[in-house]
Amino acid sequence: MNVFKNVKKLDYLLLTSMILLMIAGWFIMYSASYQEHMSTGVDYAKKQFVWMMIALVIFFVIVCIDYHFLLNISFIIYGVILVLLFLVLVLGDKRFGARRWIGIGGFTLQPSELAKFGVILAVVKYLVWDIENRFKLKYIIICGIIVGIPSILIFKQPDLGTMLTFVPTICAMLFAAGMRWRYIIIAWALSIASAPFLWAHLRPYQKKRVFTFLYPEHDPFGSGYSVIQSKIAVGSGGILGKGWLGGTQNQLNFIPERHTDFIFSVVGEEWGFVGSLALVTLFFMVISAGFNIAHKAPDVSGKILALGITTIFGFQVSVNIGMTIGLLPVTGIPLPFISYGGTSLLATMAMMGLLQNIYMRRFMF
Amino acid sequence: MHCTLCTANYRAERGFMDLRIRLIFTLFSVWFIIISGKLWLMQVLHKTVYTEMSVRNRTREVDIPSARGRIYDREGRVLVDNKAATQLVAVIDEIENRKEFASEVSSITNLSVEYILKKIKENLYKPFVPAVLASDLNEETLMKVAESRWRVPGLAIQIAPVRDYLFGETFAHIIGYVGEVGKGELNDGGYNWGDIVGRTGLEKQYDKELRGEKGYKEVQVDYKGNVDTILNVVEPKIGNSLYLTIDMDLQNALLNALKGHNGAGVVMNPNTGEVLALTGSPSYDPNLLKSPVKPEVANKLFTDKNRPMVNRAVNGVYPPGSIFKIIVALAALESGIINKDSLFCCDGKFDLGGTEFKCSEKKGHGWVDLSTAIKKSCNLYFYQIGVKVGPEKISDMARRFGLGESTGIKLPGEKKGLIPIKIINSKKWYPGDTVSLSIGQGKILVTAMQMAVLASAIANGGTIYRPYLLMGDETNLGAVVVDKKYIDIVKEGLYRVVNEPEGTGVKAAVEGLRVAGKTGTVELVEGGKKRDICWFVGYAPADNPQITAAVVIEDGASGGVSAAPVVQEVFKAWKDKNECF
Repeated sequence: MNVFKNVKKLDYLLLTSMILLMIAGWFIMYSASYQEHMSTGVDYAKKQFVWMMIALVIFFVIVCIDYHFLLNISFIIYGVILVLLFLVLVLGDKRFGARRWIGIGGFTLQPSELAKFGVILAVVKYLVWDIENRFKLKYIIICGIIVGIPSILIFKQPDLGTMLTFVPTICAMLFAAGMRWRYIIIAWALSIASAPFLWAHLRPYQKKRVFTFLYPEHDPFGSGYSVIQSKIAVGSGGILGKGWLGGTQNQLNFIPERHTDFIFSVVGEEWGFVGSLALVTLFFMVISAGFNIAHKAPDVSGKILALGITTIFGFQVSVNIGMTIGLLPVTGIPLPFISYGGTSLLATMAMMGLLQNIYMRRFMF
Repeated sequence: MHCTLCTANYRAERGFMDLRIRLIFTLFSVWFIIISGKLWLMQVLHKTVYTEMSVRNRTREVDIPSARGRIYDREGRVLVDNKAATQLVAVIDEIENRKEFASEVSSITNLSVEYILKKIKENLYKPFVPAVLASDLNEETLMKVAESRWRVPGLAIQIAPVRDYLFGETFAHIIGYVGEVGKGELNDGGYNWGDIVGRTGLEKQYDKELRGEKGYKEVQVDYKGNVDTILNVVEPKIGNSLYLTIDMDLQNALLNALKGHNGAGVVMNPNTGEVLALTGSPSYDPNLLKSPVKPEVANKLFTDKNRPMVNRAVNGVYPPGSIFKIIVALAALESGIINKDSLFCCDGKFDLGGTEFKCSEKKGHGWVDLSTAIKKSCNLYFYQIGVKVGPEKISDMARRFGLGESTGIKLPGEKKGLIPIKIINSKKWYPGDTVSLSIGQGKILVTAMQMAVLASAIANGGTIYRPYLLMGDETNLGAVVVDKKYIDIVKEGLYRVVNEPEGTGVKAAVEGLRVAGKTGTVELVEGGKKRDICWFVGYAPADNPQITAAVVIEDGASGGVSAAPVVQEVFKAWKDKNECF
């Protein structure tokens, strides 16, 4: 299979959306990190550009490797991820009270982002290998264990956001694999029942976030501050926005963490309703392309893999934007393609590569 | 390609799985519609609300304080000016840890930690208004502050116009002082947190005129409130100037003559009501009360047993003593009970139903007429005419001269004194009270200001002028309260007080100036301690009065010994300036 033939078989709608999102993401990131660049001298945009190039290479590498091969070595990948997650707890850099990063050369790696990729592969591998038992409870339990081990490690960092993204993803994959409705209902009941237990184990700042979501105006200068400032930024953008580098909420530092978790508020403020809607549309194009690929995948593993990837991607986008505009509580989930973060971009692009990979092999049967 | 499921089964699986995949896709689609709807709601429908919030977020109006109006004396000499002061301020809102802040600032400046914490506590209710910790910083402190500002959030330097009282204590009782607006004053008069207002004196009385109009700077700030750009500046307007009727030379003479005494003095032009000098003694330096006030300094001023903060000229009340004999004489003359030549015998004692009232002269003055009685301040003469005239007529005459009422001088808190009008017909009034009243003792209280108005009315032949402090503030032309012919009779006696050997007020005499006046001495026993309230009121030149003065001293020897020389000093100073008289 030569490369030229591969390129011709790519999903161009997905490819276009992806490239556009990456380009838009870089410009948004540039503006969001502009003030920090000016004051601290850290050139986030330049760093992100390097990451973009690396991510593109990874993307093409993954496009070229048959996803079945990746599924076959998925437990090796899974093992490596576990080791990395363990290492980050021991050796990781502590920032903002969390250990999430490992320094490698001049760059830092966030293993929890890579875990998304590895866990999905491992789960798909298991789901397909044991598909005869798909109606049995053990199917779900084993699946839960595969996800559970890295989840606990991630929860320890703590990185609640990343851990949370696994839940709907695994549910969607199990659901597509054929899980019985009764389990779905039981799962819902259990999760509601376990909520108080989970609540008791949340850290104070995590509890505060939930409170803040419910009553943001209660503490406008404390924990509610980010959400209020973010909403002001988005709303004051109006129809056409305040222009690139022209957002007052952004450039006067009113929005905290705006180059990472709250980056959509920069889009809303500087690009307005038109820009926000365009970006949302691009995301939706990626998601619908993903579902289309799942639909057209040549086999069950392709289907579930495409679905898992699309769900985790779609969930991150949905939760991040929802949080920025006040529809959901604050969780540290980055916006794929747009938020600053090399590992996040790397994981996203690897997953895009997998989607294309599956799409390319749609006529194999 | 090998597959776990057989191909036939796979077809069925496909359909089943695609259905479920489509269901998940639908969920996403719905969520994206919700997101788009919310974006439309925020960015299109409620755009203005959020835009306003974002503008409010990033713009601040920073007040630029206005300089207060200058104050001049009658000859155009500046008495009060403004100067720019570099102030060390604490913006409480920005302080992260108060104790750390206090110890950091304390290490930079010479302020104590306790003082800084106290200042912060005092200003907690207005955390966004800079609280002044120190004013007029020296260069060394300024440098230190500039160096360490970045690591001490909440610490800042500001330049503000502050009051400069050029002559310190000299005019304090007229002009007063200023201070930061208090919690209770915000509602009355459109003041804002941190504004400087007049606390007393003319600074308080004419605060609206003096304070000018604040300017403001509209600035764009970042999330920490640091100024990013200045959007608009409206310059402040300086307040209106005040031109006083006060003559600095006479004021100096008065204050110097009163030095060492607790008392007060008022000097007036008897023909207009202009106040030429006015002060209580001791006085205080209003510069000490500028913000930030050092607690120990303020404490010392406010608890001083000599009470320098009290303007005794308008806020101190005393029995008038023999000064009041002028009123009694006029009441008697007007009612026809006596005339110029009526004689009364003084044997040193006056017996009223077993109670004995004494004269100042134990042996008695013998037979005396009115002008002699005034000259020698004979009590017996006035006891007798007082009892004859009765307290009603005396009180009425007193009231006609404005006693028992404020004189209308525009200074805060003027005291009215006391005239026994209401109680003379009640059971509380005893015959002995009338005897006491005849010599200005007992149930009667006056201020030095009222005595100056009385002296002026006598000097000008019976016209009451409202005393005033601002040039051109003459509001009425006065009213004649008593026939001039009676006043002339009294004036004869007043001239003799100063100018004849046995007169009680000879120490008020000024060479080359015809001075007239009356002494008064009241013995008071307060808390087992004897005090003599000493008075002298006078005017000059006797035949064409141009200046009057009333002086009270709380614990002198007698009016003639302690108060008369003060008036003499003032009249001397006046004569030096006005040689032509």
